[in-house]
Order: sequence, then C-alpha cells, then structure tokens
Amino acid sequence: MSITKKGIAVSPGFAEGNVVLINQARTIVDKKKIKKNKIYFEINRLQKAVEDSIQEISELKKSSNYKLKSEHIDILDFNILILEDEILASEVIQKIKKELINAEWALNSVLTEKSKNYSKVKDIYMQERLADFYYIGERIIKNLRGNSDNILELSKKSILVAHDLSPVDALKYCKNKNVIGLLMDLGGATTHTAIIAKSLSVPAIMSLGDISQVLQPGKKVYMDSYKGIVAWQLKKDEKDEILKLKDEYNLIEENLLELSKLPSRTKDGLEILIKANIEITSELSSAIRYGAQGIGMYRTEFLYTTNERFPTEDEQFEDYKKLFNNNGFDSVTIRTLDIGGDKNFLHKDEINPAMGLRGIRYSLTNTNTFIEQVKAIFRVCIDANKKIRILLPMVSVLDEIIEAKSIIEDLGNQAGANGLFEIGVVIETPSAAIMSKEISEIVDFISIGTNDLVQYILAADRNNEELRPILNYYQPAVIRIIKYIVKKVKRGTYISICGEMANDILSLPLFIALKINELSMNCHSIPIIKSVINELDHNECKIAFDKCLQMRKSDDINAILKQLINQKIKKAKSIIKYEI
Amino acid sequence: MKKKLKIINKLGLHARASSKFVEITNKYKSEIFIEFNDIKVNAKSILGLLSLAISFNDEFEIFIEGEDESEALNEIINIVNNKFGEPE
Repeated sequence: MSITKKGIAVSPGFAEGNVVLINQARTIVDKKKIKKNKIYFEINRLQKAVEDSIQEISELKKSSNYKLKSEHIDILDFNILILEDEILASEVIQKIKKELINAEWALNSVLTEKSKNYSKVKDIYMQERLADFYYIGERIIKNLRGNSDNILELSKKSILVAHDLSPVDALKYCKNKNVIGLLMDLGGATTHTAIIAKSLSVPAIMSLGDISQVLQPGKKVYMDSYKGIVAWQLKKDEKDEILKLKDEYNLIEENLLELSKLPSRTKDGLEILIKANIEITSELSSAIRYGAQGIGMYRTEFLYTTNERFPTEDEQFEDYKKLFNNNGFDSVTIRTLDIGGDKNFLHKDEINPAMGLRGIRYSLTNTNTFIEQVKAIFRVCIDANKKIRILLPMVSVLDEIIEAKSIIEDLGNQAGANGLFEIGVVIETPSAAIMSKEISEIVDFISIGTNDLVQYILAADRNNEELRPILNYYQPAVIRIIKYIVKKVKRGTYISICGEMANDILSLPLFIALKINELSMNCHSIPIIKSVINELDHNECKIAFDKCLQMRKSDDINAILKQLINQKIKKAKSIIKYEI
Repeated sequence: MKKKLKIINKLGLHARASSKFVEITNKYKSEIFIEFNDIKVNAKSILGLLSLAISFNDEFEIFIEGEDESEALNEIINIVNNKFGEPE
C-alpha cells in the first residue's frame, strides 16, 4: 500500500529519486558500497573518527577559553558518554561488515534506528532528544571526512529531505545537478528557501510536518510539486499512474516554453513588460529560457550571505558583469543590499529584524559597504556601456532617499557614469506608500514591493503560517494601498511590481486595470503570466477592479477575480491543469 | 530480580537523567537490562537507554542479575524516585 503526504507546493515540478536526509547539521550522507578488502579500512576510519570526536569534546571541556556553565558540561559529558558507548561502535561495525557499506551510511542508519522511537513520542522535551542524536552523528561524520566540507558527492538523482533548510544551504545544495527535489518539515511559499528552490527550478514541497522523520535515507520517493504530494512504497499500478502524470507535466513544461515566446500584451493592446527576479547570476539562463524581457530585480544579498562576509568591490564587479554576458538583456535593475528580515547574515540581535536596520537603513549607517556596491555597479555600466537601474530597498522617509541619491550621484560623477544609471526605490513600507507622490518627484522609477508591503499593511508576519487567513493579496486594504500609490505618483512615473503578488494569476487583472508598466517575477512563472495577459482585456479588468474596490472583505474580492479569470482564461488553464 | 518502575520527573529520561542512570548501572558488576514497549536493552548503554525514548509517566521494567544485584536495584529505585535530583 502506498503512503502519501501532502504539504505546500512551493516550486512546481515532478521528481522521482532517492531520499538524502539532511540532519540539522546539514550534512548529506551518501550510501556507497565498499569492497570486501576495504572493510577494515572503513572500520579504522570509524574508530578514528569516534576517537577524534571524543578528543574534540574533551578539549572543549578542558579549554580555559570556555567558561562553561555546569549544564553545558553536562551536555558535553553526555556526548562523550554516547561516543564511548560500545554499542554504538559495535553496531556500526556490524553494519559495515554485513552490508558492505561506507561508515557514514552505517552510522547514519544506526542512529536513525536508535532515534526512531522519538518520532512517536508526543512529549516535546523528549522530541528534542532527537537533536542529540543528530549532533553526535554530525560530529562523527565531520571527522570521518577529515573536516572537509565537501559533502555533496551525490552519485545519483537525490531528493533532499530536511526538517528546515536555510536559504544559503538550499542554494548550496540545489546547485548540485543530482539534487532534483526538496522536501521540508517546515517552511511555506513565501520563505526565502522556497524562492531559491523556485528560482533554480528544483521542485519543492514544504510544511510536510514530520517528513524528515518518516523517510529513511535511500528510500525511493515520488514528488508531485504541482499538487504538493509526496508518495512512496508504490505498487506497480500506482507507479504507472504517477508516471503518467509525469508525462503530462513534461508536456506542460513544453507548452510553457511555447508560451514564453508570446508578447505580453492584452487582447486590446495594453503592453506590460514581464521581467525576471533573480537571486544569483546562474539564473540568467532560466530567465532567457522562459522569455523574460529583462532583469526586473537582481537581489544582491546572495553574494553576501553565501560567504558570510562582505564581498569586495572587485568580487561584486565580476558578479554584476555576468548580467550582461551574451544574453542580450538591455535592461537590468540591481537592488542594493537588503540584509535583514529572514536574510540577515550579520546575526545581529534585533528583536524585530523585519522592522530593524535593513535595506537602505543599513546602507546609510554603513556607507562604506554601500559605496563599494555602487562603485561596482558603475564599473559594470561603463564596462558594458549599458544603463543600469539602481533600486533602493526599504525606504521609509524622504531623507533616506535624498541622502542615498546624493551619494550615488557623486559616485556617478566621479566614475564618469552620468547618463548610465537611474535611481528608483521600492515602495514597501506604509510610510513610503503614503509619501509616494513626494517620492516620485525625486526618483526615476518606483517598484512596489508586494511581499513586505502586504505584511506591513496588515501587520501580519509573512512567516507565520497561522496568519494565513489574514495575510492574502485580496484584502481590501492591500488593493486600495496599491491603487493609492499608482494614483498619487507623478504622471508618467515608471511603476513595476515585484514580490510574489506579481506572479499571482488572480492579482493580474488588478495590475492590468492600473496599467502597471512592469511585473517582475521568478523565471518559471513568466510563461503562464504572459499567456494569462494575452487572454485578458484591459477594459474588463478595469470593470472588475472597480467592483473590487467596493468590497469590504477579501473573500468577495477573491470571488470577483476568480470569476473573471475562470471565464477568460482558457489556454493557461488547459495547460496548468488545476483549478484556479 | 526484576522490578517495575515509573518515571516521575517531567523531563523524562533526558540527557542528564540518562547519563546519571548509566553512571549508576556501570558501577555494578551485575548484568542490568531494561524493558520498555517490548524492547529490551542493556541498561549500561546510554545509547540503548536513549533509544527507548522513555518519557514522563512511562513505566518500564528493570532486570538485574549478579552478586551485587540488591544494592544496584536499591540505588536505581532511589534515583528514579528522587526524580534524578530534579525539582519537578
């Protein structure tokens, strides 16, 4: 009998592969067969790694640099006790001998076996013990590998399974070609990790509850991340069924590529530019593949977070230069550093980082970092002789814009980059929305940052799953604030929409009604959005939008938009196959 | 000899409690086993003990055999009933 589990599909696709479990230490363990004459070599490695681990902890305990509290010493002693446990070593050795497998895999299976009872225990204190098993495993495996961080030797198509994965680790792992899917206990569609998976076209399902505890390493699983379903232990007919689905999905992908060639124009001729949001320059190929008409936003944080340090001006120059490498994009928008919120590599202790020192606030208090970034941007403008739009995130007051503008313009003068750049801001705070008229008078363009704007307008944390009923794009307050911004800005101001709402099919009529100039979204969404735009009509959207503005509840707005979309969208619906 | 015991400290057989437990069992020459949910493990192995995931209010059985069995049993009963020295 097959087992299935449903979660939130955050990155569409279909995958079949073997489970690779990533424990909290984010170590990947791969199963390797060993030759009979290597058994003792493998056992020696294990024993040495266990001894090294004991040694490390003992040194940590002795080290006078650590003023350890008694509870910490208890934990260290506890770890040593487990490492010295003869049962651990003997069972792992048994496994190596019997199954002819590598020490890492044998150790992982013994610890998984020993910890399996914890997944059944309801007691939260006891569930935390699971972490102890992870830590032990992590330490030994680290020593088995001689401390090397080279943990991605995946020999076959693998589906990563984790309790939780940071955006940085997700990026590190998903870049590996053998990683074909991602399953997580936690997380949701708006997390950064989801955005990464989507941007790298790795199918991902999140909020699966306890998937990291129920799936054993090496198990063959099927994931349908159009519907958010994971399945394993399939019988023959069930397997056929699911493989049929896979063919359908492949057809969808082909159709998408067809759609990507469409012009993004409504039936009555209104043109909206569809551009790509990217996090890393390796996504440029997907942007081209899916028909982006430019880079609407290059988020620059990754250069910072992957290395956990500030990149040099040269490093940034080399990276930004790739934006223009033989891809024919004439229009590129670079968003300056937006660390903070869930992408804070500085690990600063802010009680409320979403409202803390982030975006332009950070750049203006650490001007050296800001100056290096802007200098790197100008070097690329001159090098490629292309215009770049500089986008400033998280502005809340005019002073910030004036100060940043004067720094940028001075640097532009010095670099001789005049005429090669434009300055714009992200409207994502309520105060910037209210001041949008005055802001538009001093910038070249604006971008409405829907992810943050929605959470700030509703005062609802977008990472809190329990706030889902409040946190949606169809709240009257959300559509009214967007309308307010569009109506208040100076005539002719170039307006783009970024954030996940830009690729929400139901929200499209709103943007068409408002004659937004540009929508910037993850590459994979571009074809479908283009197709939907092709089947809509500005006038119809305008009528629906005016109706929405009369509504008092998000359900009513949602119903109006749904009706319009379901009536009009034939082609896109036939392709994506699910009810909108 | 064997005896049924109940874990009455809130945190269950967590890190510190199980460390204390095996510290005691290892002092004795007798063979000591614990059975819980039909699984029997060597009570001198912390890994075995932990794998049982014994929580607050769980009942388990202890089996001791050897020259110092009564002393061992006494000390085990004491530490369990004293909640491993924990306040609750």
